[in-house]
Amino acid sequence: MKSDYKSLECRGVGKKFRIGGARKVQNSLTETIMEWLPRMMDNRATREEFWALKNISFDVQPGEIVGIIGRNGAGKSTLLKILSGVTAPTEGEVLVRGRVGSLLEVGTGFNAELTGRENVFLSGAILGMRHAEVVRKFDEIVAFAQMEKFVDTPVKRYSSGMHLRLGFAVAAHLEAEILLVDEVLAVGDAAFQQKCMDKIREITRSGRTVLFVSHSMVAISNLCQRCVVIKGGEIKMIGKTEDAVASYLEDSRGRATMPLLERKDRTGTGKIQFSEVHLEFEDGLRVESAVLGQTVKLIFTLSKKVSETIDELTIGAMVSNNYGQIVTTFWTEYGKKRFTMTGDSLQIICRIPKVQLAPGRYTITIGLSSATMALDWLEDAVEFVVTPGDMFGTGFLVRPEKMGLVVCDQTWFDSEHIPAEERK
Amino acid sequence: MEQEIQLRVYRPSSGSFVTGVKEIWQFRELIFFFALRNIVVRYKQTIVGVGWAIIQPLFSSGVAAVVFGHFAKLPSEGSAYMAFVMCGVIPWKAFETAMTGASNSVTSEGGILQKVYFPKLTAVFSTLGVTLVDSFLQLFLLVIVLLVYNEPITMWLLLTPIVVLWAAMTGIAFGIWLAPLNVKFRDVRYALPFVLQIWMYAAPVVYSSEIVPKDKLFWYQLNPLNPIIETFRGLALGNNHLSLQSAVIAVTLTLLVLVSGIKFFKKMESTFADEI
Repeated sequence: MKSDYKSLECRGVGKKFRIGGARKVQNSLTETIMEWLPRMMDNRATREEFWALKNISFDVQPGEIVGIIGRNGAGKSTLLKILSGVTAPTEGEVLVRGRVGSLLEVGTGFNAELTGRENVFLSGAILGMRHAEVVRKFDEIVAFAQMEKFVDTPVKRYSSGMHLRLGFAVAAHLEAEILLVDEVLAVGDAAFQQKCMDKIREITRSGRTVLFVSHSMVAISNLCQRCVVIKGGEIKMIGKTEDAVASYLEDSRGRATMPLLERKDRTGTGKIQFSEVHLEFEDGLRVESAVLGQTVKLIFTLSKKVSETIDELTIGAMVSNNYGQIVTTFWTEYGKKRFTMTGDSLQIICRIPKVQLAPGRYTITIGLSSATMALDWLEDAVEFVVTPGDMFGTGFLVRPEKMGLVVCDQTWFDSEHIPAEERK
Repeated sequence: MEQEIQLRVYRPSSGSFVTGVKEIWQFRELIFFFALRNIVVRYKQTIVGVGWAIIQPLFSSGVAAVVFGHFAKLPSEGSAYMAFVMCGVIPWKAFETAMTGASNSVTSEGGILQKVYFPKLTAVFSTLGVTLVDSFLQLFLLVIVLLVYNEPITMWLLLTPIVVLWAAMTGIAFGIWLAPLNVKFRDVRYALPFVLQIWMYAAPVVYSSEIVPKDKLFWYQLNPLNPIIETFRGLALGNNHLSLQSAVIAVTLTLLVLVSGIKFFKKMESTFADEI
């Protein structure tokens, strides 16, 4: 399928936001005037500008599946918004040949007062389908959503599942030549997410052009031939998926070894910040690796930057493996435990009685919040290794490289030899 | 896949009038569906339903007829005051509904425009749907009022829908300017109702232009609503105050506002999703 044209061309695309202007808009005239006045006094623009994307150039051939990788805030979502035409670039241009669709604009433009039928037509028109096309596919859409009985009921009477199914059915029947998929946006229950992923796989096999954004290096490696790695709004590299994934992972490793207080890429109010996160064995020995099956303590050192007491503190720690998959989360809310901080510094300890993660390398993303606000958030704050261990006390060193992501605690017996602790 | 593959280019907005008009044509189906949705949703879950389109102008005309005609005894060019006022209220309402609707059209599509590309001018022009449906219902009301007050019914009445369309397009023309401003400054939403109220009293809606002092007449006739209402009255009641000069001024002004409005809108459109 060699062709002399490209599906998509990005030429020097840049997008500028004004800090405080992107999300927090000055919605009133007075606020704007208050900002203009000082600027008129001082001719130089005092307002900070922020380039979310800078000098992005790449091409996508028809039928190609290209992954876009980058951390949160690297500019992936902004790039997708520009490619789909939702917002225009500040500089450069994007040329798109063919209709652009996205499976995850589920239910875009649905109006609660309208019936299912009316909404299918409205949503179809918004997504760019011709009326005749919707008419032709109407029965198919309704059948896919399994909604035959309810097409003439107002959507506000639908359950959320029905709403989702109908929206997905419309989006899935848009015959887009180019598909943009932002996995981060995938919402809904597990079954629905599975359906989305199945549909994405089906589409990737149908020879359409796909741009796929994901945090999951596993999904990226499975689906994409080529990847664009974005870092800090610029292209870090474009190349074969293996190389791109390797470069991305290398990058997160580099960050995880940096002292936390030097990190500038944190978000949150910063009233309290993580100053250190480390692992200790039961006996207080500081370590960089945990042993499968043994106890380890995850110790968060907090430092408070304000004098007031802050209470209702909660901590979450998401553990991701080498492929960017989130394997587990340690969270204070599981134990309904909240902390109060009065002094300048405090250590919070999470005791993990038996490490059940498969041996390998992990990074932890940590977040701290109070009842009302997000205080601190650091991606890939710390890296650690789980080494093979004698988890079952049998002398068998578990090295489950090919046996899955977790090693569950387990006992085995047959029905004729039931151990005492199992007899109740 | 047999259909021709369209090329789309996204670049910093140029503010092109031609692009704007092309988009309106290309996405005419979307305009239709937006309009249909607005019409269906407008009077949902009301008891009187579409009757509100009639009740409002009926009562405001009634009140004006009592206050200005009965108490203040203002002249009504030889017609019953009720019929006279209603001939001002109908084109005025068409203008007002179109302008308010157009200026809020982009902000009210906020949820959609942050998720998918569509030319935002479609939202603006879809306002015509609701406006015209309301106005045409009011035209039926007018016929009843004319019959009740024994006013002659002429074939000229058949031309009033064109005047209503003229009024609505004038409203859209001004609304196109306000819609992008509304995205940036929500003040527009609050300022517009009283601006419109003042504007209404600057037009011969509830009174006759006969009472306007002669030396102010030139400025008075610059109001683009003035010839619209005069034309409407001329057609419905047979009294002719229309000056061709003021009609030409009004249409020229409206076209200027419309064309520059589309240019302005296209210039601002690209950052709607970031600022809404």
